[in-house]
Amino acid sequence: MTITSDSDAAKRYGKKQNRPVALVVDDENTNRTFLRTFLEADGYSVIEAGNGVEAIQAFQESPPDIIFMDVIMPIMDGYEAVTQIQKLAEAQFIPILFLTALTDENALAKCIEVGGHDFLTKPVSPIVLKAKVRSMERIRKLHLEVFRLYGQMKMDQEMAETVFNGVVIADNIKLDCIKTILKPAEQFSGDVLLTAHAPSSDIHILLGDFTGHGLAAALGALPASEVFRAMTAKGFSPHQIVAGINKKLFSLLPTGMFFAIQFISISSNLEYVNAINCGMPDILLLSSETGAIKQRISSNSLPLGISLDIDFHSLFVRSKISHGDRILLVSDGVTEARNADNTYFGKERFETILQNTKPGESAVESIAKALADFCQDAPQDDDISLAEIPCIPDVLPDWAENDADDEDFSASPSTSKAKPPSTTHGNISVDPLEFSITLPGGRLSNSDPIPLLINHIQEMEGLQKHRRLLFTLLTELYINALDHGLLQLDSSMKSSPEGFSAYFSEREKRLAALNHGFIKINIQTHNTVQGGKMIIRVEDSGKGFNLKLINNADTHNVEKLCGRGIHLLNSLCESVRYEEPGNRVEVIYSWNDEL
Amino acid sequence: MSVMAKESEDQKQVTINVSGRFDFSCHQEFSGAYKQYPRGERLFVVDLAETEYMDSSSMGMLLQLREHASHEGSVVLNNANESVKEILQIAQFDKLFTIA
Repeated sequence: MTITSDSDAAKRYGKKQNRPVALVVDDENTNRTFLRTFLEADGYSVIEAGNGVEAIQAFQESPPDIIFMDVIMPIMDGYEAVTQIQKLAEAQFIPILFLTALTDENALAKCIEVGGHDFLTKPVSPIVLKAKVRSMERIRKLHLEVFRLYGQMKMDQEMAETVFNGVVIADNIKLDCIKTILKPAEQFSGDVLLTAHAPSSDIHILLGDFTGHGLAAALGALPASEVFRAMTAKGFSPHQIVAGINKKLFSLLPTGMFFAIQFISISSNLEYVNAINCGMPDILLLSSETGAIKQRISSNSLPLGISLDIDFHSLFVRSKISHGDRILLVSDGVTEARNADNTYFGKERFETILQNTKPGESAVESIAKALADFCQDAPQDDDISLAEIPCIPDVLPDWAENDADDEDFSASPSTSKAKPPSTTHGNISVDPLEFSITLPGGRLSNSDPIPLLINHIQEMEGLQKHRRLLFTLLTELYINALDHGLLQLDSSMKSSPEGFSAYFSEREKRLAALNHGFIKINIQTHNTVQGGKMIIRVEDSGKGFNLKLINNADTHNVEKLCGRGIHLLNSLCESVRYEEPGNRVEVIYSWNDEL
Repeated sequence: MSVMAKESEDQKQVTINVSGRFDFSCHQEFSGAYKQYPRGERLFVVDLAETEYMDSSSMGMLLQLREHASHEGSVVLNNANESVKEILQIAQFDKLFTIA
């Protein structure tokens, strides 16, 4: 008889030299010899065992590549041996073929039950045996391949998770007052929650949902979060940030992948929230008093990454908030969660639970509980994310409260009066640095020059630790010049909630139509021995306003009459001086380095 | 879930029926259904009468179909039930597709 070349079986096993090992278990010597002859001819090397106990011993000494098992044997039968071998084998797959004289159907079924992969009844034809061996080899190969892929997937996921956590999650602000549930359907979530404080002390929060879930969905979160953080840190406004993310994702994501988002920006004075909803369920504003839904902000835009032709600026909704109101962000995984009966959790159930949540109770917690009761052990189809953000000072950065009276900045008037900075008494460096920019009215509707100015100042002068205050100062001066100078808006309109939104819609209208006038910003910085000072002059082409209001700024009417802007400027600067007719202002901001 | 495509006799229009859950598991079938027709030539009608549910992956597939169809108004979404309509509405897909 022609012996199949040794390398054949080895090749089938992917081995270079060693023959694959077959363990033959039978109490009959003749049966073992028959199998040995057959298997050796097929390229195997053979180990024999006369009963179950010997088989287990042989297995423990060195696990074979395939096992041929008799059923009825002395000491320990094949059923018991296979049961134990399967326990020892754990995750590795070793094909086990039962060879038995039994013909009883139940006995044959039991072969599979205890962990065998197939059975043959004796006497065995060499042709059938060979076919079965091939079949076993094929299954083994598939098994190994799946095992390898699974291992690789796990490894990739773990590595990706490390990166994801480092880039996307780790830079979020740690805020205990924001309650969240983030329940990914797989190891990786296509949902992502991003939080960051802007230099203006506003807080930006984005809850987004990428198409699909798992690793591919999570990939898009990396560029999205980078843009979100970089632009927030530089002081870009919410609509510019959303446009930035949209542009980035449009260029990166393949067709068919997109990013639905809810984005909110809570103002640092806790007066309003600026929000946009691009393809997500409603953003809900819950009343602090009743817990009822006070306002909903529905989707009014395509998700991000689909089209560049979206005017995000006009899609933002500005709402007045009261202290203690809560904002609920939610992904569609909540309403689309299914239970074992294939019923959806649904919007109705979701909102009923919200209505039944008493003020003071956490909406997120009651929904989490209801969801768990509803879904029980049903498998989760989609990522579930919920975030409940209270409109309270805790969400604002630490610096927001401290800045105004932070003496380290030596900016408050009281400090400068107590020990006047030497800047006013000479010691001014020889070469002040000066630059100015003129912004024509027609170009102001779609631009925000403040982040650029700040970056410019910083590139030239450093001043890292003054960034936030300078940002606040410049924004305040710029907005005053724009709103009251060029746009001729009356800030007393803002005192009522209706007036508040009327003010902003009027502002939008006038800004869009603005095609004349200018705002000129001039900045001069001086180095001094102790630190430095910056003189900021802002001039607008408006008519100016009644300077008597400013003269009253020291009286207690200040908040009512002039809004908080001028009060804020006074508290931050060494001096604030308006010039007739009120369209020019000069402020001096100074600092001491050694403090 | 099952996907069926049928071409009109004049070879100008292809109707794709999706029944059951229209989600990620339909991807192969759905893209197979339209890729057999050349790019940019047919009007595609996706009949959603028997679609009980859509998720974001299926919306992604509609965007891929839109790219394949490649000119304005060449993908029509038909007969969507209320909940599917709501999902399309939330994503503002009426800006990209003709919803009938």
